[in-house]
Amino acid sequence: MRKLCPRFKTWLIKRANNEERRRYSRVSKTSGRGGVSAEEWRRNTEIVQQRLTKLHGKKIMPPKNFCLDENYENVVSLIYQLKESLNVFLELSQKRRKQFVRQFKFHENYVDFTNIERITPAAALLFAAEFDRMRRLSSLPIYAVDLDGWNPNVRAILAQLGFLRLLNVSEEKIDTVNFSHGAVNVLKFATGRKAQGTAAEPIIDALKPLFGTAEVVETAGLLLYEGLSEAMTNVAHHAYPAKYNYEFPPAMGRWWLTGAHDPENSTISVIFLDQGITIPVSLPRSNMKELARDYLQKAFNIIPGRSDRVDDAQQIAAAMHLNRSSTGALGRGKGLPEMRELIDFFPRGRLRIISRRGEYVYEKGRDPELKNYEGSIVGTLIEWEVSY
Amino acid sequence: MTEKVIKIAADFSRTPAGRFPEDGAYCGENFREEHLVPALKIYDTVVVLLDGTRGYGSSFLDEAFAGLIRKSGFRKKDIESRLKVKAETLAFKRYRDIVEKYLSDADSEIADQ
Repeated sequence: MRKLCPRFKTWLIKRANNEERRRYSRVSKTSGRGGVSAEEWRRNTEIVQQRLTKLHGKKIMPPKNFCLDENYENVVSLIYQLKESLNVFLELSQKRRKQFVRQFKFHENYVDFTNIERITPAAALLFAAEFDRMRRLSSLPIYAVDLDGWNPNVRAILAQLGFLRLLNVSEEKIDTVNFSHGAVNVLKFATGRKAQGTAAEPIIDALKPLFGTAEVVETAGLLLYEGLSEAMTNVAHHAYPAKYNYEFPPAMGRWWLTGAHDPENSTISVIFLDQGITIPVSLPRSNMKELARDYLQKAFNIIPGRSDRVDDAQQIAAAMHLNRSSTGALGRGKGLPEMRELIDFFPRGRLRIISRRGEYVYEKGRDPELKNYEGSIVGTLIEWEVSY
Repeated sequence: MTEKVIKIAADFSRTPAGRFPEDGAYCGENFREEHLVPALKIYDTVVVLLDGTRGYGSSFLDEAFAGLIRKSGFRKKDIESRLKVKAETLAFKRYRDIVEKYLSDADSEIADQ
């Protein structure tokens, strides 16, 4: 192909700019069509360039301790960063998105997993769900960088979880990962929409034998299925209303689920997650307001709507004690309180629910503990952990 | 006296879940409308066997059974002698008690309206 001479190249560029100016000038003269003036066009172009700059040249550093128990704020801060980056990308036009993907520098723009020294199953699921959401909502390419430099325990957990497949790591490469390196065994995550009982079966079947005697195994399996099917039903009914101004567009209706076994500490955990509007948002908007208000007044001496502010943890506590759900229909919403039944069945266990900024922790024989954080988990996470 | 036996695990699903069809195919409403209501209209006695499924969430049981009273127009006294909810294994017997409670609650709610 013949190389363009500088004079001809300059002429081509000038012609393209003039064409664009004439096009926008025609649009601005068209009445009632929402035409854009040349000045507005220039401003919009600057905004787009700023957004593209925001996405380029960013290496995201996760915290070393990727654990919601010990390092909650830093973990959710990272998730927030990822969500904001995706928002910027989704605001681009299709043409700009293609331009961005073509120009994307993978060696400069990635999440640096080599920085993570420890990761827990719940935090790993939160991470995986976010990457899964990115994959579903955008054409943004996501790759694993410097896989051999990751901490072996972290790499094993993420590989078992199925996270590496989200990062387009080949099956061949995954097979070379040493799965037995990690102390904690994590199950491949399941994801779905609606109340799909069959999706919970592999998780329950993998964990059931660990629960103990045949009788314990049968009842524990039933209780676990109950909790999970109710969690899925709650997501289908409450978590993703169609008419809601989402800060970050969700993968509508979707939930994620995994299980884990820690033989060193003799614990089994099951984690369920959604990225919906959260309990603190859905409950006060519902016909359940008066019941929630009664409970909050009795339990915390709070009258919502006056100067008292109800925090997120208190909203979760109210939901755990109400006999109806946020939709207010007769007989509905028996689900959340029954999630404690699995914990009550075992000698020791913990139910943890994190929704928006609130955390509710229930342990058998003790009053629930409530806590509120600065950062939002942007969804609801339910974790059952039992000791055997 | 005619009798119909419905085994949820074999005749409907081993993984019942949810309330409404939009929740999933094996929801409480579908079980009620496709199995329970037609059977109650035709047979003198309907026996429902709970054993064999992976479990039951409260949403499913409430919609399937209490829904007979709330939505399908039955009253508890009408179906008390005709609907037999049974569980043969110990682990499933608690579901039988739960269904009984939901039926009573629904009957009271309707009576209060």
